[in-house]
Amino acid sequence: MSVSENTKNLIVPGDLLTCAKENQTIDILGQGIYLSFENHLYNSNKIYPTNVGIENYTTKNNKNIANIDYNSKRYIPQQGDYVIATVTNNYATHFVCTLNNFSSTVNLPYANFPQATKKNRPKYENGDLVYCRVKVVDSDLPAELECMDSETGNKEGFGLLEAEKGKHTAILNCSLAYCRELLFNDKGFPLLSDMVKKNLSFEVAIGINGSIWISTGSLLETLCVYKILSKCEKAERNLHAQIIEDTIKEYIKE
Amino acid sequence: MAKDLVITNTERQFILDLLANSQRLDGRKSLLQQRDLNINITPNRYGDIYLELKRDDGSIATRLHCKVTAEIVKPKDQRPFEGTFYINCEFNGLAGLNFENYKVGNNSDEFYYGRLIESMILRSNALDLEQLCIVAGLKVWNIRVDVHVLEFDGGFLELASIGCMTALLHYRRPDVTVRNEKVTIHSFDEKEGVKLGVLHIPIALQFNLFPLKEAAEIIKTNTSSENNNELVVLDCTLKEDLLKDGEFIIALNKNREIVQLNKPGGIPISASKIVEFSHMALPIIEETTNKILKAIDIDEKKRNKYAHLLSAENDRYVE
Amino acid sequence: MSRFEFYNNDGLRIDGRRSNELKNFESSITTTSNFANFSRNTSTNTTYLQMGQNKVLVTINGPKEPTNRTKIDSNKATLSTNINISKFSKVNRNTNKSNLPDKQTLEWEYEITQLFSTIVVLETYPKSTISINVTVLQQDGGVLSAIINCITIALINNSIQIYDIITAVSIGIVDQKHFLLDLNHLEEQFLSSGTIATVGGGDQVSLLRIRDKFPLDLIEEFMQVGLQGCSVLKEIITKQVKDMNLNKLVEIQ
Repeated sequence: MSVSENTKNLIVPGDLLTCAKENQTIDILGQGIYLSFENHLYNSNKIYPTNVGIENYTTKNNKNIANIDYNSKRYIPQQGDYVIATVTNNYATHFVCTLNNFSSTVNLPYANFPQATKKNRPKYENGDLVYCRVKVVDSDLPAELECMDSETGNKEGFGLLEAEKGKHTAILNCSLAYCRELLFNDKGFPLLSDMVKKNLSFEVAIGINGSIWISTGSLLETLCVYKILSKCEKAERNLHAQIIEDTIKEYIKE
Repeated sequence: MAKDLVITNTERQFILDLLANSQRLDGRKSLLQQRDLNINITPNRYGDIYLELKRDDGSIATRLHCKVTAEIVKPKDQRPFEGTFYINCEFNGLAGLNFENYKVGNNSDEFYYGRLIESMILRSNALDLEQLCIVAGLKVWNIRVDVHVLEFDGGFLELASIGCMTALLHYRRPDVTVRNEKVTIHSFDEKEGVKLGVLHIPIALQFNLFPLKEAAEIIKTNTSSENNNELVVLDCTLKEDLLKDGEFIIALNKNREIVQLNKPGGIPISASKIVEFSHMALPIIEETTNKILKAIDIDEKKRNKYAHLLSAENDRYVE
Repeated sequence: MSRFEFYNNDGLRIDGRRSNELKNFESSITTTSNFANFSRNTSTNTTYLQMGQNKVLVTINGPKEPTNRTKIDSNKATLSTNINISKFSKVNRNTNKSNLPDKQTLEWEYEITQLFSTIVVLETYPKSTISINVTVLQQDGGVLSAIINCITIALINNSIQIYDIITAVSIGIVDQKHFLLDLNHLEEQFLSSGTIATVGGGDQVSLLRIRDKFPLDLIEEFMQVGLQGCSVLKEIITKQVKDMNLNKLVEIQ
């Protein structure tokens, strides 16, 4: 593959993608790239970037994948994403959840829970947080979530995010790119590991829809983690260590 | 259709726990601490004010724009000697997705707060309307204040009242001369503008109540007034605002006069608490009033940079 | 100040009352005769209150299924208030041509909704609405207090669950020292006045509304007078409600 895998190339709508320049075939298109059927006859389809961001190429199972990494605050459900949903209503067959404020709702059917039977249905209240995965995205129907691995039927860590006894929890809303970095790029973006190194003990669940759920043993620790995560979102990367230290000093070691 | 903001149970619990421990989500360490207030007066214009509330980390939480305009209209039939005054409060899409453009519900908080500020200024005669009369029964000035919320994270009522009063204090209307019922309006180049007659400066303050017990319990235990049934928080953020369970609004001026005192429903609080809050509000309002006067003073000095050169007054020798 | 002497040296007011004397208070229930009417099912009842010259009629609809499905709250009922102040209710007929309520009425609606949202046990009526319709037939001073009192009686009358009785009175101040309870029309027009509502006649203030200039140092006294008036009023209301319910039971038997 001639397209180097780690090009950090900022691209703007209207530009030519590097892969298009080099006549590289792309098998799977990711977010931010649009496929236009310019000429059906000669099969000369073209791909265009539609968002400002960094283009990204990977190869998986001999298939070239291209996507543009861009930042946004609005989440659009994509199949296979790990998300934190808020229950807003419940019906006879499913919960109605939201992934973002002011966006369309998604469904979480009772059948998509492990060991689901007609009688054994989860009892979630309105406003509860559920960690789950997007199962189906359909343009005509609301997206469907699942709370288990549908191949194995195991729980796989999905389910209700609730405060255990003696624990304090919080939820933080931030931008989507930040959540992706935290979740997938721990080597290049070791914020969470750095925090653990500073003797902060905490539990997080990160949803790709821009929510981070935090759980620690004490209220101040929760506030501290909350503050670090929200401050680091806006700060430069080289300032993160300083922010962690300052915030810990402010809230815990007073 | 605009959907409402959803506050999850986790977040609700977290914010309430923090408040119970005198911590705030935006980094403030006390329930009674207010965010920093910035008053920016647009140079070269009269009555054009930008107000900002700043968070601890320097980012802007709430921003408001107040603008005074004046025009000549026919007075109301019942009051031929008085000018008219009108406040237009607008929350538009800029302030957040929960507000829709040009739509203010009659039962919404925004409507209520807007009305409150209008009646705060009108009913207490903070603005002297009789000075606005040009020709009785025919021509009076109509003063209109437009309040636009540009960024919103709570604290609307206080900011709007500060903004309106600052704008009114700062504004100058064009001078007019009446000769044989003929009205001439002088531009600012011709004649210096005339200040509006602001008789006193009422400032509103909102105390937000968060119950520590169930509402039913508070209502039933009405005999034990010493018990702390609620938390009182000043200058709520938007999230705290959505979780609050009652409010207490007081508008005061420096002369120890209550201009408005409102507790619209919500959880009941004991009468002694209300008295306590009213007295607590006075120093805060004095401070805010001084801030307004200082901002106007600074602006005045900037405008009249060369005033001392033109003045006939000279330094006198005082024995 | 004004040409009226609101509180003379003998301690009497314009209408001959003492400073802390309330106006006469008379309430009656089920004033419409067609109680068993098809369209007016048992969940709807009217209550009439005459407080001095204030004449207020309250109808409570509900708890019923909301007509607008988006308004459903699956945890508790939603409360809505609608106040109609009739045009002939004052000495001079209201010349306002539009039928829309004026801004003060809208404010009252907001306040009353907020007030009764904490007093009514809304959790017992999930997915329903309770609408309070107020008609003011005649206005004297302190209409807001009369409306609040009437709604309390109406809620009891409709057997809607409430935590406690709310009572409200209006208070005025003369010459910065005398406090007058339960104002009449003239007093309200010329004096600094306010309305106070308490829960169960105790010292828990649920609603407070002062819209006039008022010295800060007198607030304590103001509250005391208000609380006293509310507790007296509570006794009157409880007595009248008990009498009414007695009649009701006798009727059934």
